[in-house]
Amino acid sequence: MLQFSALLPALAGVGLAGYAWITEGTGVTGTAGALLALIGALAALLGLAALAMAHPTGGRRRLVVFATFVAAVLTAVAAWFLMQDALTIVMALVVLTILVVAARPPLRTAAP
Amino acid sequence: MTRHLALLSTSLLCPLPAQAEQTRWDTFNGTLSASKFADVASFTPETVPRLERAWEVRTGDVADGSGELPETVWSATPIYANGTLYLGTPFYRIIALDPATGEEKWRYDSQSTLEALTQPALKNRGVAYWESGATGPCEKRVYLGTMDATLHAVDADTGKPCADFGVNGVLNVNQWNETNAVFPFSLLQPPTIVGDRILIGWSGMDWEYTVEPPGNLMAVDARTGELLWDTGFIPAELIPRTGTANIWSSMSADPELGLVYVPVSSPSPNYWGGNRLEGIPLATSTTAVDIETGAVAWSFQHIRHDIWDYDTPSAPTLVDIRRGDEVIPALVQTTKQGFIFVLDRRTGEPLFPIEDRPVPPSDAEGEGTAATQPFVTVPPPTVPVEDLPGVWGLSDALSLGECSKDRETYRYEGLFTPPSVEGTFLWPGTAGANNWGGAAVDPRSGILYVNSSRVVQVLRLIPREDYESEVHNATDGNIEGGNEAGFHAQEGSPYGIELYEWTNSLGLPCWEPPFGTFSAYDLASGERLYEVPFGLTQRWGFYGMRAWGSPTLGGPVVTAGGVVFIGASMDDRVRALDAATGEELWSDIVAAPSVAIPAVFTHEGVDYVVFTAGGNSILKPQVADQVVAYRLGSP
Repeated sequence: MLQFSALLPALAGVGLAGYAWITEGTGVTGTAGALLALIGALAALLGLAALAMAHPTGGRRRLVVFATFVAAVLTAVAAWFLMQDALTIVMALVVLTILVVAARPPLRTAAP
Repeated sequence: MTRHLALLSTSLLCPLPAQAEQTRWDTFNGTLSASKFADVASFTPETVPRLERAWEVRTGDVADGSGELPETVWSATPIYANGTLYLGTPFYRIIALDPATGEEKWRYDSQSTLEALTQPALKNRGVAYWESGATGPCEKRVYLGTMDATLHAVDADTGKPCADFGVNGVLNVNQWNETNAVFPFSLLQPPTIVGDRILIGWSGMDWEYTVEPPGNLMAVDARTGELLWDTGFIPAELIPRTGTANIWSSMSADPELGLVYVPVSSPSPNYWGGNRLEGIPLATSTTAVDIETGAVAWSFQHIRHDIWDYDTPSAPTLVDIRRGDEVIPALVQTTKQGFIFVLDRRTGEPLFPIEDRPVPPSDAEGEGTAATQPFVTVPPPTVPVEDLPGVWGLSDALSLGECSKDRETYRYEGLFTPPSVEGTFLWPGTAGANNWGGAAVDPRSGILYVNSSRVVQVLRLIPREDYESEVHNATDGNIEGGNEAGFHAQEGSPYGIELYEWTNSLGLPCWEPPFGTFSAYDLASGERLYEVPFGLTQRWGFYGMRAWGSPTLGGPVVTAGGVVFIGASMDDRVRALDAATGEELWSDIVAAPSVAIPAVFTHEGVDYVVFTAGGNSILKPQVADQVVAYRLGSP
């Protein structure tokens, strides 16, 4: 349950990045930078979803955590330079979420 | 300290009128003085954070160049007159709007051809307004010029053509294009109207040919379109060999002195002058012309033998300057090269010393540069022209020293370094430190406000025998680009040219920021009161740092309440600044860079500021067709 709630900031990030890219008047409508931020937010969401649902372990887990972390950090930086304050804050939350998730032991499926 | 005293004196000596209002904003620069001062008191540093959108309109007249139509470039100042807001569009239509609601009153379509005949884009800078003082149809008129050289007159109340003007409301201005007519007289800038006279300049392609139409100023009757006089700016004996020195920008006028002040551009071709070594005294000048007769009253040349395309770019700003007990009728001319010329507008005499300094000679075939050029040190230039901006460390590092290498490769020996085959740094760039937006001045204090760009370009002469092959082999896609970038033939001269911004291979500027500033000057002392970075650069959506500023196109308006309104920056924002400090007080995002001058006026007791957001590819490839009006919301 905790893992699924960890997806909420990333979901919000995707929503805000999509809004910035699509909606007129954001200052970055239709730009490559906003599209990049959307892709980054989606990557962070997918990474967290993988951690929450697929429960990777070992090296695979470390790789997913690292990739998700990088995607979230870069998206937060991109959002800063896109002057999308809400997205910057949300992606910073996503970064924190990844750190928390990474610090917790991976869930293991109970043996039959 | 002096700065604070000057600003303090503004507030002490010039108390705000309690019921100030701006009842008209009926020229490209707001008024004939081109002061861009709006006598509205409600917009103050304390109130403008409450600005809110009153309405927004999309004209529909926009193209990004991806379809059949050329790209649009829109720099129209909305005209407020006759209780109506009038706009010209880059599809050469006039739209009349209700200033309170934005509701369309009428629309007139000139049916002009939508072809980029003389420019790389469909361009428009708005309309002109005239009224006779009588009542009845066509006693109030709106005039619209087109790229194919026609001037349309329509009734300001109905939008119906005024049949007594030209032929059924359309004047063929190209009928007077009789010499070296390699392109039509494109009417992109609305004409200036003084009394019952319409004063007409035109645009062309001075980067393309050596022999072109000679620049002139024409006066026609506002009612009939009859040609009253025609004043040329190129000596008759040189006309077979050269051309332009035209007026593509706006003009200002002093009806009491009976003079119109015209910013005359450079001769053709832009970057080689071996065909005109005798000199053209009226080219690249501010010239005062008698409104009644067309006689040249005086002329002040800003550059001798201009081979940098440093056209005089804007209407000079008229202001009375107090020196001791004397009040001097002055004009202030901002320029592409960054100098601010302050002249007595009765005589053209400079009000601050101007130094003649030696400048580097040319090694181009047939060229002969002037030995000296005028340098203005007071007021200080709007950009630091004493030396090329330094190499930007960030850009240099990211490109592994590309910028430093360029700095050693291209020629630069100070301002007015001539174009060369090896490549010359053009600083300021051809779009200018200052361009068509010009400056604003508060006539009560004599403080001048101006936005400036810091862009470095590289200009390369290409020998004629190599030009075609170089253009053919070019792979960077900048074969076309108007006069601000790309390859240009300069047909009839020994050289074509290539012009481009000095960037590294990542597209980052090689020169150090800031890239744009906003400044204030005390015109009595010539002192600069402040200079701050202005606007934000933007690429792929990402914004630059605030300290970097942004190149700008378009101009400011200063209000009686001590606020400056300005768009102009790359970042699609319109802003209100504190006139005392340049600090940003308010901003809003619009659909594209607002490369125009805003309109500030009082309609039915309410103060409005209206911006057009049209964009310009010189700043970035983004266009729009948006008009946005703001007024104060509730406290």
